[in-house]
Amino acid sequence: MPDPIFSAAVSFLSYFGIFSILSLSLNLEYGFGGQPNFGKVAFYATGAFVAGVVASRLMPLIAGIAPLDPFSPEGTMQRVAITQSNPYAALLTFLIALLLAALISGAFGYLVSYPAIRIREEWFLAMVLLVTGEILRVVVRSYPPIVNGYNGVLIPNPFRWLGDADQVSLAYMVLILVIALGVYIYINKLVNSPFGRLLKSMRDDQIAATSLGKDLVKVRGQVLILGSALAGLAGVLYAYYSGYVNPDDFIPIRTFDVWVMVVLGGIANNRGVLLGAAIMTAIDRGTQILAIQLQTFGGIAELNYLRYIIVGILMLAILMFRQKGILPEKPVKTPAYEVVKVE
Amino acid sequence: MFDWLLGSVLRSILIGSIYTLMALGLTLTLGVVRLPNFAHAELITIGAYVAVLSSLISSDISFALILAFVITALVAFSCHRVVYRPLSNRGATMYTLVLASFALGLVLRYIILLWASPTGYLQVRPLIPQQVVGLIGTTVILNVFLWSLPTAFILVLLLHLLLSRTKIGKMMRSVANNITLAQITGINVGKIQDISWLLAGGLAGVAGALWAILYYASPYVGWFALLSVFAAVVLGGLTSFSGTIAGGFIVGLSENLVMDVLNRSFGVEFTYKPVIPFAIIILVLLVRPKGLVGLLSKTRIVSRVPSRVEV
Repeated sequence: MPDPIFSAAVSFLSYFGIFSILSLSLNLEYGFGGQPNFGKVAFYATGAFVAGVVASRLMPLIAGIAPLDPFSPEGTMQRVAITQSNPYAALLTFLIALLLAALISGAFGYLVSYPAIRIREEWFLAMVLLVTGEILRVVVRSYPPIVNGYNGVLIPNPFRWLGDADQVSLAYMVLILVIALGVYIYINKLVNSPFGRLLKSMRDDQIAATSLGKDLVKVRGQVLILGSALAGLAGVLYAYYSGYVNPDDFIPIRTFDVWVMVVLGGIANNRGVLLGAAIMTAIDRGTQILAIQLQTFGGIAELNYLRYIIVGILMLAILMFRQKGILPEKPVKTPAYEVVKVE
Repeated sequence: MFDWLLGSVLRSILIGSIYTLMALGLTLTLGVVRLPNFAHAELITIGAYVAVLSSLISSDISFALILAFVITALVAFSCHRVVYRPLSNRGATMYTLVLASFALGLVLRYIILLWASPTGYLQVRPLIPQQVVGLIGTTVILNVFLWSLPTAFILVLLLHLLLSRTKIGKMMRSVANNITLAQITGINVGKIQDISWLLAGGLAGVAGALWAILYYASPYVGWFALLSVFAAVVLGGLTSFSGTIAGGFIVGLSENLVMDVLNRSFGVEFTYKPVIPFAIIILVLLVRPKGLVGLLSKTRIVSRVPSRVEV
């Protein structure tokens, strides 16, 4: 019998890690770069779909077993058997999925935004990205060869070979948190680099940045590639965490959730964004656990809806009363800034 | 042999006329208030449910439509006063307003779900009897069909007259064109925005009610229609009046007639139908960002949507 507090804590921290990566990547795009990515879910979903395809097709080949039909119960059993007996194949597949997802999501991000970033008005980019997310979902759910259409595909956790379910989820949680920490450090370094200052200059004044000889179309492309690749990583982590790739998970509300984390925590403040992700995770997991608890006592099934109402009201409240978020943006830390401060 | 074609065209026109009504409201808020209002979806849903609830009192269609217009207009107005106007006064950018409208839509949608789910209103038809009033080939004409097209036509005509012939319409167009200039010339911009919200809400409500009378009401009705409506607006050139009308019918046609043809000739499955409006949006934005404007329109409300809201 698993300890409920332990499993709740593990689930909270796992989701927190995944949400952190997503919100940090949006913060890079919107908070620092000013690019309104209303299609975050498209790249998150791409990551998850890549994980589904790689785990269901490539893993038997890596393990050296003749693959069965990936969507049949036998195929699922085969994958579970491989992850239970062959740590090497399980982890290698997972790594390949991570790398491929980052590459494909990044390329997809560039491809989708290629025409839109050439138009000065960011409104177009927002609309194109928003719509792309929905097209991707509808096509993948209607076209079975990718991840079995709306039935989805089951992919086993890469740590299945540890045996004990608690240890598996704990090991995976640690992995998620390590990757999230890496992303945090990377983005922090990046935004304090010349590239980060270039992003801010693009956000604050496009004309001034252009007059200094900066190629903004190129920068917009770069930041979207990077943000999309990171979202792809989060997608892989989520797919393996839930063990199930389902296109209908990736509805536009997911994008909105990420926006809530960024706006709530603090636009262009990475620590604030982590705080936003933590609050969002608490609401998400809290209502989920509460709903399950209440349902076992024959309570209301509608508690799930409350989650969205709470999130919506929270978003409205923060926009109304604290537009810069809980932790507002801080000045850039450069050697020059230190000099100015001393003087 | 071509009976399906007739049915398909009929359905295209019916849905196209409803889309047009929905899209005109969205165009108004986009033009006059400069807000791509995602909560427009919930206004449509509220209209649909008003039709359902009003049919409990009377099965008269005109009663349902008028009630839907009034109640939804008031909801839209209060949304403006409670959320959007205070936000604009605090210097909100366009993205802030978009996020706010998304959040507001989410709150309204799930409040409706919270009410509709336990009471069994998740997918209901109004208690308005549907009678067969005629046949063309094997295509059935229902009495409710005869309501939707004339209603849409009359409302569009009235709106056109309002915008082109009255002083209020002139003021609305001037606010849409240049808000600062309008203020300088002494136009009460706040009042004009109030009127636009009332009109946008009313139109969305009537469209939702018509949808419910033709098909059904559900908490997701507006949300599912919204992206088609956005497609119509983008196709029409964002803020053009006649462009939007054409856009509404083109989206209606491509979702029904074109989809049927694709299905019969190329075996494209109906599960791909939602891709059509999205594809329209992407294509228009990439190929001809100004939409149909220039080809069709003279009464354009505003030349372009600015990327920031001017206060």
